[in-house]
Amino acid sequence: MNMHATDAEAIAARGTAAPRVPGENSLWLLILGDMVIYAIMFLVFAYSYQQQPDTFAAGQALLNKSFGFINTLLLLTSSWFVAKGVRSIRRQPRLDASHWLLLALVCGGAFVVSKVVEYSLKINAGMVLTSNDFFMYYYMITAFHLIHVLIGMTVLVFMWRTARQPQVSADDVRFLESGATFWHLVDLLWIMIFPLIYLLGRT
Amino acid sequence: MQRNITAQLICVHAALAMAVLMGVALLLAGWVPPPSPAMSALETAQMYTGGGNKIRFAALLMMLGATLFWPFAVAISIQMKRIEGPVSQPLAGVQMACATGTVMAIIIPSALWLVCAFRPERSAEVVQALNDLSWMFFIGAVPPALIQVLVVGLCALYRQGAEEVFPRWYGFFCLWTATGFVGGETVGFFHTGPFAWNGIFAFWMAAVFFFGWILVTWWVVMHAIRSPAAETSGAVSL
Repeated sequence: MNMHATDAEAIAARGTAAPRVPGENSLWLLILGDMVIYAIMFLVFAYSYQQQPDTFAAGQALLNKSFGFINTLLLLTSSWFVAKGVRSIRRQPRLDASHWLLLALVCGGAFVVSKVVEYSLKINAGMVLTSNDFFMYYYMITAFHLIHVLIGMTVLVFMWRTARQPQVSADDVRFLESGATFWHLVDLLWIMIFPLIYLLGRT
Repeated sequence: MQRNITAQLICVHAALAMAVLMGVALLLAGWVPPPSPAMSALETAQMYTGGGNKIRFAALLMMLGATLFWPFAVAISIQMKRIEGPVSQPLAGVQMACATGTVMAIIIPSALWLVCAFRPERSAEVVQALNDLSWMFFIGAVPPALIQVLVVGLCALYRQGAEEVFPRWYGFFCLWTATGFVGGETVGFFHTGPFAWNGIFAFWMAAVFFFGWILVTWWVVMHAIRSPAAETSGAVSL
């Protein structure tokens, strides 16, 4: 491929080549496997909702939807930043991607801060892990996701360091794509969790 | 160079014996799933007086099975040392050390089950406390196994040339296993439901991932031991 081929040409050229998934193929074992664990959690949550509709509806009414909405915006934005970063890296000539990854990290950090504030407000108001089954699921599912956010942010730090190198190898690009894929998973999971725990249900 | 293939294979096959012994022990005691944490002190004491000898034999099999996890961990570490090279092998060492934690989280509850069955005349509250203690170890002591699978996955994924020993999908499989273990962390909070020690996440999911990880790792390590590349690479010292 020509060194000075444009992004559009590069994408067009790839379109004629063999189909390919972003990142490395084996990573999808982790991505899809993680989705299976979450799918089971969501099913168990839905089943429990059916069993105790009053408790769950009452618990849901006590959640602050603004936090959930802001968190959704933060993760969607950070996913967009990561996608911009990976596009910059793929361009010929390559553009600096590190600032995009830094912005994604800031959004991730804001998500963590917002979650800590939300948890603190809930705990101070007496709604804790052991209050009832709704709050058990609320804390367990969102905390499991928060662990994903923290791991994803650790990966973003390494992605940022990789993107700052003067030269990036094919392996580095593969790592950046894999890391971006994982961050999109973190975003996707939240987009499932937000409506399920905060919005859906008996009105 | 002496590779001791037979001894390595004996170590890795210990994993199969471990899985069988632990499975048989749980079935023999009638603990699939484990006894409910919501049981009263009297019900707990009656479980031990009623099933005394079955529980005693189950505890013995469980201890033997747990001990066989050590040779298996040695076989894993030998392959990790091939990846890490001859100079220093920190990840292989962490894996081995954490394996000891995993083993103790099985041997200690086994001894507690023997204690519970040892004196049927003991007061029910004491039996209940010992029973609680045993399950807090058996299901709740997740971190050693968690760090163990994470460090194996890390070794398979980030080291140059690791593909010669462990396939990359195995590295991601280890990370996935670690996420599957997390459900057991909160057994101290719940007497009922999916996160209690007999629940779908704390017991069923953790058990499937634990035994699944052992079987997949057995297969991967066995192939690594037999691979021709093992002839030329590897750590000089153990």
